[in-house]
Amino acid sequence: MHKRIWKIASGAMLLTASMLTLAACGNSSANSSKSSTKGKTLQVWTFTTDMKKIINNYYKPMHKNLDYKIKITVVPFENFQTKLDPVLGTKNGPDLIALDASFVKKYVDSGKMADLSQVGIKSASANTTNYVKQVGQDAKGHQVALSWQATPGAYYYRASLAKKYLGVTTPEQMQAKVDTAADFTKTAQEVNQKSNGKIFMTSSISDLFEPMIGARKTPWVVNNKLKIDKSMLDLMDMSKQFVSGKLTQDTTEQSSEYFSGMSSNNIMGYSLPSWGLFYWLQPNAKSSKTGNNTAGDWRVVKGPWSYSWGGTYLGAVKNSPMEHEAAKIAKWVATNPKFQTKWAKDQNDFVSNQTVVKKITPQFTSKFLGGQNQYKQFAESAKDIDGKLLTKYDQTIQKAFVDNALTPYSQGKISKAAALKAFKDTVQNAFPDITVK
Amino acid sequence: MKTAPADLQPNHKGHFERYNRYGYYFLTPFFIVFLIFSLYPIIYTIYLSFTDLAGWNTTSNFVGFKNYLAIIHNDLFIKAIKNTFLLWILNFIPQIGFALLLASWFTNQKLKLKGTTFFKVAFYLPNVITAASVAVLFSALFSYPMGPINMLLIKLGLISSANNFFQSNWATIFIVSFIQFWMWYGQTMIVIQSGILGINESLFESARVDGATDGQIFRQITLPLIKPILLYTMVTSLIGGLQIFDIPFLLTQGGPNNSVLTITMYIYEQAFQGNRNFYLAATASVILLLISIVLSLLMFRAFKGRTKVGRAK
Repeated sequence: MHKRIWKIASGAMLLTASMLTLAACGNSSANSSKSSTKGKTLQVWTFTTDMKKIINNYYKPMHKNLDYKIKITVVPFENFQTKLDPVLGTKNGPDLIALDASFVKKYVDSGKMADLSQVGIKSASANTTNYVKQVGQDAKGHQVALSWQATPGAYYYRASLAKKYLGVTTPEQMQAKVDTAADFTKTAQEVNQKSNGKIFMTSSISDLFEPMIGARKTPWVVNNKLKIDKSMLDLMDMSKQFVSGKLTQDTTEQSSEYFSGMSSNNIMGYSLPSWGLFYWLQPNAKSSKTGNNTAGDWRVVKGPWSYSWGGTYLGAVKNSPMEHEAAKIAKWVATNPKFQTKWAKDQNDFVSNQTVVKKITPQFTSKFLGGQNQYKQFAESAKDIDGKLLTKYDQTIQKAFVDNALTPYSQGKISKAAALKAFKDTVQNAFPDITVK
Repeated sequence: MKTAPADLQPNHKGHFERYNRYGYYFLTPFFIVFLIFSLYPIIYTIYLSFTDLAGWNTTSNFVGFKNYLAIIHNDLFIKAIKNTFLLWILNFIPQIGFALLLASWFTNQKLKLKGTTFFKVAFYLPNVITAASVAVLFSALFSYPMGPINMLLIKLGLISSANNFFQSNWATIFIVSFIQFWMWYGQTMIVIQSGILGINESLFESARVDGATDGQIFRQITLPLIKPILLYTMVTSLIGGLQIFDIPFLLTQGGPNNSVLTITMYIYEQAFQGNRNFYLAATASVILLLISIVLSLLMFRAFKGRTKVGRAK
């Protein structure tokens, strides 16, 4: 009897003890191998299913002799950085990571990303859209991340509604109606009057702030000082005019109302980038409730602003077990013309390799856009984008601006001075080291 | 307890002492896990609060009490403390009120309510749903401009145009408090009910025989005798309330204007978002720990005093 209890107790102790030693082992034993990749697994972390498609449907079929496995982990966008930061650069971390434009600079400047020059990125990316290259370069000019897509922004609108309320039949005519911010507002008022307030020019004020924040002239932080671009004050006024004048339905970006407006007939259009077409518009064009389908009725114009929004960058993690292989994949996806040509046609995405863009632009058409050639217009917009606008502070500062200043001000809840103070306070709180005057 | 015959006692005691050590063996796994996963992080957090560790840095400098001085002048942190207490008070008062009312109805022998089991289960159910689902449910209900609550209020003619609830400070505060109340009153009701059922039924009977009304019985007999239970509810609810995170975080991420930003959300945002200021998050955590300790001690003191008064009667 005694013995038995003692056995169980000591067994339990042993078990705990062995677990502890195992856990301890996990932390030690640094990366020691770069020689052989055979039978190893390359860890990819991403926040969309894009990378899964690219690797499984394009990279693997075109690289049949890989002697290692590739494991793709999709972490939801909201949790991506929280999950990634503690393990980045450790043995438990990924080798290849996908980075969204809103936070790519945080990692580019972290010193934890591998220099892609080890796989000859310079010559490979000779034809890559310039701003995409700029975004992926750290302060010393090393290319540590690169994207297969360029993400020029646009205004997508409904052809039938534009014809009915504005008498517009071609994208050129529509562009003339929204060529500047003032034109955009005027057209919004016209739509509002002619439809008796039933049709809104935009779904949300995000259709104003996403382009205008993307079209700023000064970065949010210069020399460790917060800079509020003059256009941000214009944005506040314009948003307030849109909300109070009922020119926007005033939904919240990515809410169910925002998406359901894409299949209903009361929203004239959305400001979205190139990926907005296949990522948000196409899947939401058909309503599951009413069956109303707006596919084919959409057209795209440049709109009043030249901007970029989003974009997924790829980078290899420095000193990760499969750093070199990860860098190879990043280079291939971001620059390979054969892949990008196929991807552009399959996915409707706008790619970053300009040689590919030039080659496919003449014959490109999209059924969803009623046969319009969106490539022509995207190629035009992509030229004006400034890659140096992005900083590692962007995501937090933009959220602070939209949540604490823009939204309450646009709804008439607080004065402009109070809005700006709230914004600056929030920024100071998040980044105690930068100067906020 | 039965006492063993006198001649057998020493023998028994010897046995008992020999078994004694197994108790400690079985306790060790817990203490090992506790030391590594609870005590060590707490001590490390306290250490971090005296450093300047942030971002990608792996080394830090010792800065003394600088972080503590900075954080008590930090408007956002002070606001987070105020919000946390406001949310707790706004959900605790209706929660305890409803729980008391329902518990006294369900236990009232005179009323003899039918189907109490069903209602007990029904009232407890919100507590079973995960916080994430509840947050999704309510954000859909109150969504703007086409959410069900907005549509209902417009149909009833109570408001003329849709109201963006999650852009209004007070509406958001009330929605969060309501959710907390709705999720927890069933649980509180069950606890209080068990307290009331522990009271000797003859006390109620004799009071009734003496002609006391229901209100008098509740005030003079039920309430004084369940004071320990009430205080227990209060302590657990306060500790839980100080750590409120899930509902406000999932509903609006603290907005609008940080009106439902709570202490734990502040800690989370400082540690894992933006610049990742671990030192500020650690300092805020230590202050939260101090607040919890002080309030718990105060309540335990009150708890002790009251029970003695109760027994003296």
